[in-house]
Amino acid sequence: MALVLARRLGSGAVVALMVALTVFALLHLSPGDPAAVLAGDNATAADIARIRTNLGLDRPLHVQFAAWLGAVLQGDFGNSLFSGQPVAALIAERMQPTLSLMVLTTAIAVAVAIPAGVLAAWRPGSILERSIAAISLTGFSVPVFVVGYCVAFVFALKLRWLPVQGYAPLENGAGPWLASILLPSLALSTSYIALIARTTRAAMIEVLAQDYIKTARAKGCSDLSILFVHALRNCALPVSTVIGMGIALLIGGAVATESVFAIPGLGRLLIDAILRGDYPVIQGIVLFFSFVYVAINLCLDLLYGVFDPRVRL
Amino acid sequence: MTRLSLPALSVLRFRGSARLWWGGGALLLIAFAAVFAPFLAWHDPGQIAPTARLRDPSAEHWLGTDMMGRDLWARLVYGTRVSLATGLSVALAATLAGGMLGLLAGFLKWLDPVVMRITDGLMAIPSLLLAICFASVAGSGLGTVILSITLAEMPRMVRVVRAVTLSLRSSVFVDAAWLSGSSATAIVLRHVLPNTLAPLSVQATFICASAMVTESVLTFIGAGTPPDIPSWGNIMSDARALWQLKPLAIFAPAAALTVTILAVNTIGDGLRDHFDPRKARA
Repeated sequence: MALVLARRLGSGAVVALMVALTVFALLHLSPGDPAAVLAGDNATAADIARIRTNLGLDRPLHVQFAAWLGAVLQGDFGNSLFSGQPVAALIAERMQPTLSLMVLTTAIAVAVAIPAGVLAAWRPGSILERSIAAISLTGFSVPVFVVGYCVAFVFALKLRWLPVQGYAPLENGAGPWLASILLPSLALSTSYIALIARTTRAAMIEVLAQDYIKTARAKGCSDLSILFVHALRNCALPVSTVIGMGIALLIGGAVATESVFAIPGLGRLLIDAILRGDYPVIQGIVLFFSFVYVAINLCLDLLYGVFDPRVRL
Repeated sequence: MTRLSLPALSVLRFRGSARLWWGGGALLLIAFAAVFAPFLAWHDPGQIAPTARLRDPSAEHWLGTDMMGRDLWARLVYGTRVSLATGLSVALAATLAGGMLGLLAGFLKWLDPVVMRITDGLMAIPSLLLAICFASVAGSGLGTVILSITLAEMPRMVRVVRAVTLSLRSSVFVDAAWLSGSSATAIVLRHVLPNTLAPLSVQATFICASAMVTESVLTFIGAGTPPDIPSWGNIMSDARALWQLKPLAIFAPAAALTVTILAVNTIGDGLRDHFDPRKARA
């Protein structure tokens, strides 16, 4: 058990290292010169050279990578080229809105997608199944910001139920907080719901063809208990895998959603950093999101044993 | 899915091909609009007209004009070119490069772990972030956008082709080919490659759709196609400030984008069911 746990953690660490290397390579092997960006338009060659020395950009790449990785491991993601603030502090400051958005989105997606997928598998070929399949294909094809504008148009502009834009911090009360992230979460959850529902449906159809389901039916179990008690549990593996993989979709979607709904989160920070060419911030955010993604998938990996005792850790 | 009777199979075939017809037909119409854009729109999509700003839809301007007086219908029609070009180029590049890497990784034992670790690392970075990261440092331009999305989408293709190659490598007919004295090149080209084409084409279709989504999001947030090129992402990005007053400028390109992506995804679903009817029910 401990050995397997250590092996899983080890492979997670290898992936995290690969991520760090990729992000580093992307930003350092690219043609853009951060020193030139920082120096501005009127800088002389000497100015640029001086800034390059200060940033350590004149050192060999592997030395730069080792120094950078060492700092990252201690939680130091460098400083913003624009404001001079530590990137880690900037990320911490902007984390709450993005985290709220992602948690609510995941909750909505799981609550809608799993029952929808199970129902679609219940009667293959029925109107219900076909409409759920069609809706999920559409949901998968609509870009997140398009859904964002649609829900904002209907629920905020026309019906005036919820605010159009902006974010209310949790400290100022749970009601306004929920109201401010409900529409963005709805928008963001669309493609996630489609993804999870499709996988749930496929896994359920496979499980429902098994002999033990026939046994359950023969002993007189109701459809409801067969679907949700006997069958669903055995779909835990593919479904939890797709929930984990979908986090990548969610992270990308959060960037676009925050832009539509003017939410000051990590996505907004990333966009601002891109527009200013603030590469330590870009690097820090991409790295942070990727580590979160790897960590969530590692946790789900370890949870398999709980869902399915046959998967021995 | 275990007991497939023949009538059920034929129904599935029909379902798969019906989707191919629908998706293919819609995509053909969209491609028609892209090719004949100059005949469908009578305004220059980049023509700025300060006196005709924010016009409502009329016979002259079917969808009205934007903040700079540019004709929205013309921009919408010309935008089709950008989306299709991006989707097709990325699908083509990712298929060629990813397919080749996947074949090599599946065949060369020493290369496999290297390629797998690199794709592990690339796939651990959410693809939109990877594209943003690359596009933001490589400078703006349609070429950069295509390259960065290709980089983000390629690992999936490598994985698919590698998996198929691995299972083919240990199959009996490949053993037979080895025994009959075929060279490695002949085995890859004649026996393995043709068998990867079905999953390859399905994956390429999904990559094409995904690339169009990514291009529009990248452009929408300002890290994609340069603002002077009329793409759907740019039209929406321009319309963002005034969208509460002029929702059409957002919703028209949004609808075009959605229909295009839906058409491509429908083709992908249809292709998958066509090649693998067993999976069609799953």
